[in-house]
Amino acid sequence: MGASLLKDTIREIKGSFGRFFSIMMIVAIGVAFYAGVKASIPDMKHTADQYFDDYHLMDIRLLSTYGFNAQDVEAISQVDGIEGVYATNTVDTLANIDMTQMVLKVHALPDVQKDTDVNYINRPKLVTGRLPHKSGECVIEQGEEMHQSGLSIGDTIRLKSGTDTSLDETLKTTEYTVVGTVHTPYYLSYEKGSSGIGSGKINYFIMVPQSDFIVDYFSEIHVTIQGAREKNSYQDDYFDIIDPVKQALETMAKQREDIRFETIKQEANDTLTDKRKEYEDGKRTFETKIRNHETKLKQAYTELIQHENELKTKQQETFTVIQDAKDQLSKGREQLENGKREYALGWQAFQAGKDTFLSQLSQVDEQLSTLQTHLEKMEETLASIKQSMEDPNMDDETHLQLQAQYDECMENKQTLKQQISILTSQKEQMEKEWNAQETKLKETKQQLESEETKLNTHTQTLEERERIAHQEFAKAKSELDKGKREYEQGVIEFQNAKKDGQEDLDIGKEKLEQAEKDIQALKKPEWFVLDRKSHYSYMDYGSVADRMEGIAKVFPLFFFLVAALVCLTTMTRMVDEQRNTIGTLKALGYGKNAIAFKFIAYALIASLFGSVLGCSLGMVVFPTVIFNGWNIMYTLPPISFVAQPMLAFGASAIVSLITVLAAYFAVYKELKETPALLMRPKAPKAGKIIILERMGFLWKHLSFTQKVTARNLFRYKKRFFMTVIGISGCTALLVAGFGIQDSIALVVDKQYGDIFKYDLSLNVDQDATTQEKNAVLNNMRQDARIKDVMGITMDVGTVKIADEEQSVTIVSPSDTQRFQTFVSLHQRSNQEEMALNIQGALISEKLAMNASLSKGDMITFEDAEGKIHQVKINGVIENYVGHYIYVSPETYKQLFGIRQSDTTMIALMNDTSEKTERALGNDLMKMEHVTSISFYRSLADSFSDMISSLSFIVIVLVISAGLLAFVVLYNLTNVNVSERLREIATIKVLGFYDREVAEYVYRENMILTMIGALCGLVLGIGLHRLIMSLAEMENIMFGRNIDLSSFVYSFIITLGFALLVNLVMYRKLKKIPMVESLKSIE
Amino acid sequence: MSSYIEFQNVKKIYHMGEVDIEALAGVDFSIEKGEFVVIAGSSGAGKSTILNILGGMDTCTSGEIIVDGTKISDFSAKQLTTYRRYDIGFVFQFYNLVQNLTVKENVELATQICKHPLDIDETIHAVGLSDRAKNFPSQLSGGEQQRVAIARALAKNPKLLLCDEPTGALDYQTGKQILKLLQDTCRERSVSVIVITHNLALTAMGDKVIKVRNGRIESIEINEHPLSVERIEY
Repeated sequence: MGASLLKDTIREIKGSFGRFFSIMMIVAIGVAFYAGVKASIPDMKHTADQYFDDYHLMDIRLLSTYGFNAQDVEAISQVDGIEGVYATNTVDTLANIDMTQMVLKVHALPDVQKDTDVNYINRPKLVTGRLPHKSGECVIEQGEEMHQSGLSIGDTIRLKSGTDTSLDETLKTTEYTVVGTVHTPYYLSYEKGSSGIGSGKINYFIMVPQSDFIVDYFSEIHVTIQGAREKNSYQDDYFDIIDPVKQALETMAKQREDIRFETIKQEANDTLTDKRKEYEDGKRTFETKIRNHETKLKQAYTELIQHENELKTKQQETFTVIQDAKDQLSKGREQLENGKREYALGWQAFQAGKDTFLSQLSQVDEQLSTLQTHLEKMEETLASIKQSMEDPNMDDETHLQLQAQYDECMENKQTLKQQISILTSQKEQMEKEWNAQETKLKETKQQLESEETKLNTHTQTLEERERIAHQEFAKAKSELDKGKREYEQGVIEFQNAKKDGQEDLDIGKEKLEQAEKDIQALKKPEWFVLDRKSHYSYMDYGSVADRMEGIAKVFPLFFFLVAALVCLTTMTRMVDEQRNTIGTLKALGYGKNAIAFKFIAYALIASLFGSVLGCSLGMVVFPTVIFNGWNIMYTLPPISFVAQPMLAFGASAIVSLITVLAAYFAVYKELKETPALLMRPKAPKAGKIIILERMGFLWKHLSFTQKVTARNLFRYKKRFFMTVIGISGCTALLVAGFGIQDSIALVVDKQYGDIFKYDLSLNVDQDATTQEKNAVLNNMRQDARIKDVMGITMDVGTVKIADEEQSVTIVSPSDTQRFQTFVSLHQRSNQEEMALNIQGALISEKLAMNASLSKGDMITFEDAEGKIHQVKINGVIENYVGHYIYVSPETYKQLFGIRQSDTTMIALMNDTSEKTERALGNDLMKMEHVTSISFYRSLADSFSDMISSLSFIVIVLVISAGLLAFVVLYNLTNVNVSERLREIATIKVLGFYDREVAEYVYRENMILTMIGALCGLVLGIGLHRLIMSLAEMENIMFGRNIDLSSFVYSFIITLGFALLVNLVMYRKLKKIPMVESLKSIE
Repeated sequence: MSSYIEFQNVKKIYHMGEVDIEALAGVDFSIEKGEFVVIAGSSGAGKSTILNILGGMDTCTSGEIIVDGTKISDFSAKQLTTYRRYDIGFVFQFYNLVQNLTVKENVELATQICKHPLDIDETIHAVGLSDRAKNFPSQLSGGEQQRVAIARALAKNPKLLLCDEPTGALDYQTGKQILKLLQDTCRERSVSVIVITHNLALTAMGDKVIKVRNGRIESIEINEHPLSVERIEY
């Protein structure tokens, strides 16, 4: 094997550059596809990892069921291998943006962001503006065309709590000014997971200063690990670094869990003790209060009774006294009457006694006057005696006699005087007695009169007194009654108070008991030490990259097959041409290997050049295209390539092996022949009667050149297959490319046209009363812009599919009949409308597909409160975006125990222009209890945007298809032309015009192209399916349809490529020299 | 009055890289209608070049060529094609049949582009291949194949029948048959037949014998009594 052979090979390449080029190109395309698509996987992962590293994505994220305290953080930072620790909080909030209620996840950033700070983890990538520096400032995620937040720098967001707890307990302020937009490695895609509030799906994240969180614990801790950044986190050696630290953290977590548990238990017990004491105190207070109250009531009662008794007694007494007085009075009156009678009698007797008295008195007076006269006589006697006696001359016996007379007179006088005095006194006595009697009578009368007056007065007084007494008693009685009533009221009040108090106490007691139970059931805090394998974005992007593996398997296989065929036909042709040389060499004594070397070297050199070209182009172009394609949905920075020499080498080796084999296979047959045979021209491949000729009727109708073409087609089978496969691949790529657009466009059309017929949906406050909800509904019903409206329940839930929670919407309409006007529930296969039965549910197709469920199975899902429900599947309905479970109101009641209520209003509009929508939206938002409004046209628009951005995939596929078609057709034409050089020269000599010559040659090409294209249409369906299934997201079902127009376009474009190749080859055809071609022996 | 075919100082220079090779260094001759002309010369003398230029397969570098009153040396590529199409019939050493077509179809290939073709079956009959009409070339012997080539050339009803070493690849007997066919054609149809050969023995059968050497005409002989093919021994 000398240098002359190599020289020969190189000359050969120079001489047949077109042939060399076609092998090189198909190899380049095959390698580009294979290495390119394969390289995109590590490139994507590398780019993601680079992004993670540059922005310090945490290696480990810690969560705890009880949050973390400062000691926990301290303990974590002590673990060996930890580089940075960032303890932070997040909270899900609601905010209204453009009339729509959005769920905003609030993340925290360190107050001061220093790039040198190892504890500054999960750094955001600033896109516009700046990072927040002070309270009330935030950055929001940078939206792309697909996903505009509608917020720009300077706008204010008002955050609301989505739960019962006020946000003020979590955040210092709820009003944030947007100061910048960011991307974060924490969320690579717009999929930010689910939330327990609002729509159940996190729409955007915002980042605020950490100090705005005013809670006294941390909800999560992010940790970076020393030396981890140097490794690619999608490779195992990354985890070799992570795992020990993770284990250390887990071990430490156990201790911290215990410590924390004790603390929590202690705290809980303390709280419980306090609470218990509080309860006991409360109980005591209550009891005392009750007792006092009771005593007071009793006292009041006793007093009341006493009062009553007293009143009675007093009444009795009073009336007894009055009665007594009355009795006495009547007695007095009786006595008075008696006295009066007596007096009258006395008066009569007195009047009667008066005469007697007066006679007696006059008798006395007579006696007295008699006596008086007696006395005077005596006196005179006496006086005469005395005068006699006074005569001194008188004798003594006369004197003595006179004296004795005197004395006797004197004595008489005395006796008389005495008698007069007695009589006078008698008379006086009598008069006195009379007078006394008269006076007495008078007195008696007076007395009687006064007595009567007195009696009358008394009677009067008594009556007055009785009246007053009655009055007073009545008053007292009414007062008493009032008191009684008050008392009874008091009793009732007391009983109520007692009951309420008791109830409160009971509740308190129950709470206490519950708290006790809770403490007993108190779970140990659980720490979750999550590495990146539990990080959604990391895993999601990794799996997306891995999905490319599927494409990397199919595409290259196809291209390699085409490469093999191209190489085989080319080399066969070359071997045919070189028959003579082979024979000569053989005759000269070269060995088989030495002779084969030329061909193998030819193929190998072509392959190597092709490989270099393919690798250098493919490993840049394809990863870029694929990466950017995925980046419609992801927010990674521009791709950074990773050197993959093994892949490049492997791809080159595989393709070189294929071409070398093809070359060897081509030359092998010839090598077996003897030099003599080889030196003679090869017996031209014999013409044969083809099947078509046996069908006379058809054959007869073919024109002459058509017959020629038909024969040729059947003559060269290798070329036939190469062309058909190559061209079908080209068409298939086109069909797939256009089909992708169709299928995604279909999602919009079907989902927001055929399935969701409503134009807008409006959410009302969950807590709004039925009346309030109805008010909203009625308002909408009366709006002239709204054609029809109805209320439905839309709940969020999750379904666990292969350890992954996928969010699902549970829909229950208020009226299953009318619901059909708004949403069409039908099977995709037969478009048959399905009814919502009383029992069971209808589930969306993708959900059924993901969960491998079908009609008759039970589907298990978790509602927003974490309760598990199960419902039987009545049918699977066509649906493209999101997972849905539709249930009738009856089933809803059965499932959740509560009635379906109209929390979401869906409506059909008369006019869906943007202007009307805006006006209507503004009006509707003004209604009370309305939380958000979505118009489906805008949703459809954003989806359309996504499709337009997918058009680059179509461009790539069209270019690939074009290259493929070009290489294959060029090769085919080249081989055909060179092999049939004599034939072509002959017909040229015969006087065929250039155009006729071209037709003669190209007719074959075109027919092969058409056959290939037709095959490609079928192949394209399969390829399209494959790509769609790879690109499909878990909650979106892309259509599997391809529009007729796409088939037509693909077909036409394929033919266009063929024409283009023909045009290029036309020049070559024209240049075919007749003389030389005809003279030479093949 | 000029001849049917006239070559006047025709030169043909091939540029092979930096070297110019003068294939024809000024050739003058004329051929009359219905003449059987033999152009003889050794390999590389320029006889094929003359034929190619005359047949419109190649152009001359300078000089004038007039065929039936038309100056073909000024023709464009397309005019040359038309010229070939209607006026020229070619017969080559290696037959140049289309392998994928039957005998009849090979003839058809030529006739379908002519204005006044001869009847195909008759032509095939004339060359004595009626019973092989449906065979493919590979099923025929060399002589038979050459007869197909002649039939193909004749069926076009050309003004000129140009034959480049028609017997070169054939055995003696077969060669003779072919030459006979050509001579008969010439006589019967009064078509000008020009045969190129390096075999000087064949010159005896030509009405006119043009000998070429080193790109020049060595001699032009008019053979008053051409021999019939049967009498030629070579």
